[in-house]
Amino acid sequence: MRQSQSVEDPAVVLPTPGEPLEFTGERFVPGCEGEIEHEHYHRYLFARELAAGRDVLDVASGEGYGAALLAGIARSVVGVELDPEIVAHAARSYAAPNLHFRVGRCEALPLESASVDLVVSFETLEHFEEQRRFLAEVKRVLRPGGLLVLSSPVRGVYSLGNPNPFHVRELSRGELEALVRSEFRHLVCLGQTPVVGSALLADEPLPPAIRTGQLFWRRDDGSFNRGGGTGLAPYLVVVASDAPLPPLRIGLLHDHPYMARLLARVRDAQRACDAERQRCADVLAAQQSASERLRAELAARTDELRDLRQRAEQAAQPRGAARLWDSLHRRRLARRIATTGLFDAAYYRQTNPDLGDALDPIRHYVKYGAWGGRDPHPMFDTSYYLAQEPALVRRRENPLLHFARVGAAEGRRPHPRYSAEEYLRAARRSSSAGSPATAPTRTAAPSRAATPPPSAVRLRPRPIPGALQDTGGGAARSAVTLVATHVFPYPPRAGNEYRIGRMIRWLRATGHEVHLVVCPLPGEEPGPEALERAAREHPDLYLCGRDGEVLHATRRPEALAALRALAGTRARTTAAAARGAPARLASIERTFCPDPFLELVARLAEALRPDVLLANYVFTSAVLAHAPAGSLRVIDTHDVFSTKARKVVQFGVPDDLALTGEEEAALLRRADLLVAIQPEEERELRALVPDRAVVTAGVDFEVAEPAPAPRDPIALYVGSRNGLNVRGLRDFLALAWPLVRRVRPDARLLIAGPVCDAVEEGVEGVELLGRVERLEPLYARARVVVNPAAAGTGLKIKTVEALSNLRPVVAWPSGVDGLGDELAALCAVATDWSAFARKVLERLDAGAAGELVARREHLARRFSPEHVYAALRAALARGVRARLPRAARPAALHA
Amino acid sequence: MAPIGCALIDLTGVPELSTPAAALRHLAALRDRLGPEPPLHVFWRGAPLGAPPPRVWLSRVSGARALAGASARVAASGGHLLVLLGAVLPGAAAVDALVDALALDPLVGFAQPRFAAASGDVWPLPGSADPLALLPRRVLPLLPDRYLTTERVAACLVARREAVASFAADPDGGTELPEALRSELSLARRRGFRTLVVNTVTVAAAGIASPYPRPGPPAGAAEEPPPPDVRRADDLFTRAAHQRFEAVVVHARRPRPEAALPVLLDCRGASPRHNGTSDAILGFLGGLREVAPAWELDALFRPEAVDLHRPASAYPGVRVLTALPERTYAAAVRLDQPWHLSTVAELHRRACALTFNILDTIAWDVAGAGTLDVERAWRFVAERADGLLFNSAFTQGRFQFRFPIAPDVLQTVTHHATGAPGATGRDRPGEHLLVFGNDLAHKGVAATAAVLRRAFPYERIVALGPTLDDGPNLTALSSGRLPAEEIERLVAGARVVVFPSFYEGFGLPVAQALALGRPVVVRASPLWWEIAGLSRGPGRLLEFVAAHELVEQVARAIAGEPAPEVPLGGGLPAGGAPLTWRDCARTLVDHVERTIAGFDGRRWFSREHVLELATAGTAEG
Repeated sequence: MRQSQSVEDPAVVLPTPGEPLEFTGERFVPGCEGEIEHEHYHRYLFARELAAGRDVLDVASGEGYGAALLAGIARSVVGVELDPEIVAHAARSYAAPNLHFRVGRCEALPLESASVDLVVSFETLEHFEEQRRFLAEVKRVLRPGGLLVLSSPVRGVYSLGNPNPFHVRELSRGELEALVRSEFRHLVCLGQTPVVGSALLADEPLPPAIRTGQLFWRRDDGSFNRGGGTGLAPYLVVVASDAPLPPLRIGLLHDHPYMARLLARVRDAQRACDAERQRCADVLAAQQSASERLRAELAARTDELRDLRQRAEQAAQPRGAARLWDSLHRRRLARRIATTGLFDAAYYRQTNPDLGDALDPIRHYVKYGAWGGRDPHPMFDTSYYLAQEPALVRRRENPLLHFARVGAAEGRRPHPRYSAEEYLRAARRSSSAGSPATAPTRTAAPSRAATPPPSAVRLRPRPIPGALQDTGGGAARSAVTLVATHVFPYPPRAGNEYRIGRMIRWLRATGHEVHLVVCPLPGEEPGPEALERAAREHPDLYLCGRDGEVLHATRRPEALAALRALAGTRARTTAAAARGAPARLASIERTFCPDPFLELVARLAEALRPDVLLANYVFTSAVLAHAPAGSLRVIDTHDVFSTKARKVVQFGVPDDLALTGEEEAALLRRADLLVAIQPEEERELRALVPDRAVVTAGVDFEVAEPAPAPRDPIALYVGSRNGLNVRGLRDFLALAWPLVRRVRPDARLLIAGPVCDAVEEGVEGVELLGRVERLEPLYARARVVVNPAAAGTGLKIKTVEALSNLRPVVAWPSGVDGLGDELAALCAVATDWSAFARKVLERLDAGAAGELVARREHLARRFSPEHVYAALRAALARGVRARLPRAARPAALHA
Repeated sequence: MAPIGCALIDLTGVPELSTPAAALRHLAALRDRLGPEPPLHVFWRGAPLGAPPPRVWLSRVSGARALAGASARVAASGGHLLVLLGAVLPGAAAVDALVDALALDPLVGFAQPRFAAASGDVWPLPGSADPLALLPRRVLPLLPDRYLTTERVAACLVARREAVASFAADPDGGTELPEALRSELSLARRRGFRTLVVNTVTVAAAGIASPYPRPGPPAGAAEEPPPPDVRRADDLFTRAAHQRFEAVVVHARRPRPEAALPVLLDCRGASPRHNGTSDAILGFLGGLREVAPAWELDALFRPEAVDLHRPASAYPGVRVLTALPERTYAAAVRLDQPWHLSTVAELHRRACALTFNILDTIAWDVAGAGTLDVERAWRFVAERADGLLFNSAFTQGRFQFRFPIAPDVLQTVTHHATGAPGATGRDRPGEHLLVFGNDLAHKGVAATAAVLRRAFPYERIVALGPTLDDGPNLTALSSGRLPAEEIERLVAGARVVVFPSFYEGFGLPVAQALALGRPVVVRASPLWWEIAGLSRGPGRLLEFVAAHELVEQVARAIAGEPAPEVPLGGGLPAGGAPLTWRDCARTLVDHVERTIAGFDGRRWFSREHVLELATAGTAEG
């Protein structure tokens, strides 16, 4: 195969070797990158300009690339190299008609005398001792007037601190010039150095004002040495001849692609380094986490082992083994029941107060309940089921497990009123909201599926254990207000709970005798401690269970009499249509107003003849149907549900309780007076029901005393576990908190409230505090309070709470809804997470609360009950006045 | 080296030598060339020659008898046998070169030259697709020095003495010399002697009908089918790789500097939808129209893509094909990656130089979008293509990491256009955040759109790519069917363009958005530094890795705030304009011209041998 003719190109095309040669350090080979490549190619490119049409000798031609480069322009090129293998390689790699390679020594060049016009010898001289002999040989093979281009490293510059083991004798500039002058009359000595920097270029011919050769050598980060010449160049390139030298063009070799590659590699390396560092940090964190888990596991296992040892000891006693076997078997059954999702632990506890707090409900059911006719769920009647399956009693087979294993698949009824399918569906939905077998958590939006067992429920009133039952009638009667709600406000854990509690407090403070009737949503029933505490705070309290149990504490004999009369009676079933609600709302109304609740409110209203009957939330408005003549019917709306969906859906949050305008208006018309939580919603309510009175009452707060500026850069978030809060917090942690931490690695975020249950532990700088007794100490530690819920309606009570604690707040626009311009101006409002992070950062600086502190007195007035409830007070007075003759008007309602 | 022991000259059937005088003049000329030594054994049926010249013998009976006679002289002389059929007059140097060729291997039984027509161009070998299409003289240096093949009767050949000594055909057999000769060549082949076609030796064969006479049966006899091994030998000769090579090599050099070379653009990667590959292919076509290289250009498209993209309008001069052509080309360029080895073979058999344009390596990397054959095809082209084009050094690096490229494969980074497609909307303030991509997983559109919806609920977000549920602030558009103008309008109207792809070969939309003056937020990749270096503002390019960085960068871009940016224009000369498709096409043209100029046949044969192996059977017998 013959080599094809090379193509002439305005660009100099570097020859490509036919076969690669390994780089040993002794000689440059194509493919080496960086300075070595630049130095070698630059010399040959320089020499190439002198080789056009000439016969050329390349001494020490090495791999052959240089000779091949020269051959592209020369008449002929001979490459001479000592190593026969390298010569053979070069001949194979670079075949061209005008290019030949020969084996030979520098001191005895294998060429005829006067046979070439140009001798090129790069980086050769320093490799042997007989340098004068070599120069004489060069002179011999050159034709008269021929040209030598030679390069050599400069001793003391090139090899400073890094001697090249292949170099036998390096020369200084003076020595080199003297050596060359011994054979040639004319010479010029050029310096060569690799550069990183910039070139100032000019087109030729150079204007007279231009002088070349100015150099700036960087000395350190802040300075350059000014200079010129070849003083610091590690290589010298000598051009010599007996004839006057031809014009020479010197300049730069610029390799931008190499720098780009280099930069890319540096970036890649940096990224790899960062990734490795991060990986190590992740591994460390994971190992620490695993270590903690293992420690906890070890502790648990140790306890278990101790327990087993005790049991083993018992087993060693007579009949002990059988007892142990029974115990283990019951444990297994309890675990299996827990996995079915069919057991409502809260319901079981509630309907079996003898259980106490210590015993696990499922294990109780396995051991005792199933054989004592107790029900594991409102829709599973144990006695009924066992009556249908008498064999289970003989076999001592747990009825609930039998239903889960066999009965459900065969469609056996779990309850005389419910089908298997209905039970399973209800249990499934409850499970998806939170396993009923574990402690349920509060949610603002109840599941529609959690429909209580309707009708035929017998009411079973009994006093709240531990509560004072003072039936002395209390203080002199003023206005009597009956408040009906599904929200149990003690102790307050969410904004709505706090607001209801505060409003009741204000009503009582202004002379109202408030009777609070609460029917919690499924799973939100208060524990005994909370109930006892609430009863202490609230002397007239009625907690209505969906199963008909009524726990009560009251001072009013007539109320007590009504409760006694209620014992054992069946709650009336009231169809939705009879309540005046649209049919579509039937299931919602049943959830918020189960029959026992309505029955209880009706009996109390009848007995107490309240001046005001107040329903919290429009969904509880069915109670207003039982208001006696002359009572003012009020709905404290909290939200406008016909506009809420529009406000939250754009933030990707679904609304399960959305109403149409017509539906909401129908419910609102049950009242004489509507309470809006903020002015905008007051306008919306007026638009829905123009014929009803509407006033705004937000929430009152006691404004904190100024405290010393917090010491640490701490942000605080307090929230309940509603969907908007959870969504907002998760986004904040993912999209904003890392930006805060990047700027302030010492920043910390304290999170308090039930919302903690919805986020993972382990986020850098975040502490999950869970439910706390008192928030004030947390506010005192925080430099800024965040309210990250991007959507919502009503009034952002947590925003107001933060302001009342004189803490700057960062929130989304919805977080200042209802505050009014004046208060909203005290908050930092962001419309994206980046801005949110920046505003948090700004307020993490100490002193950001200064403006709030300065306005404390104003805030105290603004958040005082007198200011907040002024309109409500007047409206209540007007409403009652309009409905009662003067003599019957309670003093508390005198406006 | 043994000399010629005897020259056997067949002067039968040559009209211009049908007279004794002409025959004698021819023999004298031959003697001048061969020198006084070799005896000349002449098969002659014409009028008596009178007194033959010294050392000239005549056979007048049959070709077989003449061959037997000449063989006997060779056996006696110790030299080789030179056979000349018709008015062929080889020079002494040519004959010497053929004799030298015999010395290459003891089992080379016969050496024959190539034959030049009066024009100087060379006769094709028997069995070529077009037996009358002469091989241009200019491509002769590109042929291998020789082909080792099966027997083939030619107008000039030298037969090794050892082979001739074993000639054993019936002296009373065939009446014509070609027939007798073929019989002996076949017999010799069975004994192990092969034929060498020596491409470095050319003998003038002007004035003869064909230098490869087709032996026929004796006059009046019916043609008998050749023995099976002769048929196989014919097949071997006809189907040999050199036949395919000579079919393409005719285009390897321009007859005149200004002459157009035939080039095939394989555009079958353009699917019937709007995507990056289609844009790149059409971009190159448009650029080639502007560059107008000295090429006779055929563009091969899938029929369904022609209907959508109308390539003829992008480059009116191009001939649009929708099926593989029968003809051959100087070069073939696949304008995107080859997906099958069969595609490579199709182009290889039709062109001298092969170039493949690697747009990305995603199909291989994600191991699912492509086929198993991708691995083989890409490894093959990395080792054996003449050239590889890359749309970025980033793609080049990714490709080379997976498929080490042979040192002599010419590699060129073409880039794509980084200039503005138009002036539309350059000064508009922007209306929406545009998340740009398609429905492939590596584009990351869905997750990015979800983050932006949550982080910027008050912004309008347009997501181009997968099917997503529209929301109050999200409009999802399916990619692929939107015309380029509509996409440009979306980009030009964006406040910020977010390009969240994990992996691109070039990222044309990013370059276009920058050119349109849009701020662009991209997932960090070394690629963007390269693309930014070739782009000019007024846009800005910001990188992100994590979701919170995305949010931060988008916010900065919206607000026009300073941010760490990928610098623009660093890879362009000072004051230099961004790249246009013309620039990219110019680079492509230079690259292809270099592969053609550097074509010497070695890589072609290397490819051919591997492709033969890839398609060969494995059973013996």
